[in-house]
Amino acid sequence: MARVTGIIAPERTEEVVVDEAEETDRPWVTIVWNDPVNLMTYVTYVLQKLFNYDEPTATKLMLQVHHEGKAIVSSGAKERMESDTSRLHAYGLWASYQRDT
Amino acid sequence: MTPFQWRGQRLIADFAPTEAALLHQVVGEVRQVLDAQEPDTAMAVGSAVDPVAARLLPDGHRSDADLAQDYRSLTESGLRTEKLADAELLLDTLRPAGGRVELDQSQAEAWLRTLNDVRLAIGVRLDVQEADDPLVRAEESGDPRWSAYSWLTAVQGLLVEVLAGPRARGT
Repeated sequence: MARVTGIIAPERTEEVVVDEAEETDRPWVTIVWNDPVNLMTYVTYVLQKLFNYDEPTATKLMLQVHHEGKAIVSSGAKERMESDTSRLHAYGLWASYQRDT
Repeated sequence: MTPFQWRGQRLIADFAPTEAALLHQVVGEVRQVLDAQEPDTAMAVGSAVDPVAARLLPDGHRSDADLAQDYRSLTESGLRTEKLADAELLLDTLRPAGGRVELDQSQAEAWLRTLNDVRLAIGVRLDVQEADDPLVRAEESGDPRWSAYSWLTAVQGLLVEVLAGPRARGT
């Protein structure tokens, strides 16, 4: 699968050496995964509604999910990513959170 | 059904008796699946669960079982309660015999989430794939669930369209 290239998350270069401090400093991300059932219009609507993205941004993320299989929709502290994931699950989007790679 | 339309602050649509009966049946079935799971324990990571329940209340973390379990203890009960409340709201606002439905914005959101849950549930049972055309599958298979899925997709599409579109003014 293609490397996640987040539209929202800041760009960063590949980390070759990861020490302990970097390990804990790395932010967490919430990912939406492609799903054959969820309507494209619905995914766009939910992303706008939950994250206050404007329509072009939400559409871009939705298309990334659709074409690349996943997209990072938010990044930040672990607790916030848990909460974002849960809000996406309430709307039936296929979401998970993890430490940014 | 007639497409959802704004009338003032409310969304209006009319449902035929067969359509209302179908919605009551499928929403009722999803409610049963959600009700059947014991909070916190039955969905424990790695345990055998109804794939529909697993899709409606998915893992929060994909590779770390401890994190996934933490997420579940933290959110599953609340998510289940919300989903059940959404399903109840749909059943309460749609008479089983059909007729007019009037929803405010927050009720329409609950309908939207429940319609999506119902489609996810049927999608799991039918193993719906991206390339599937539900109407073609309905014709080929003769399985009425494909027709139901196709109709539910249309209803949800109409509701998204009206909620996402420009708000009609006046009555």
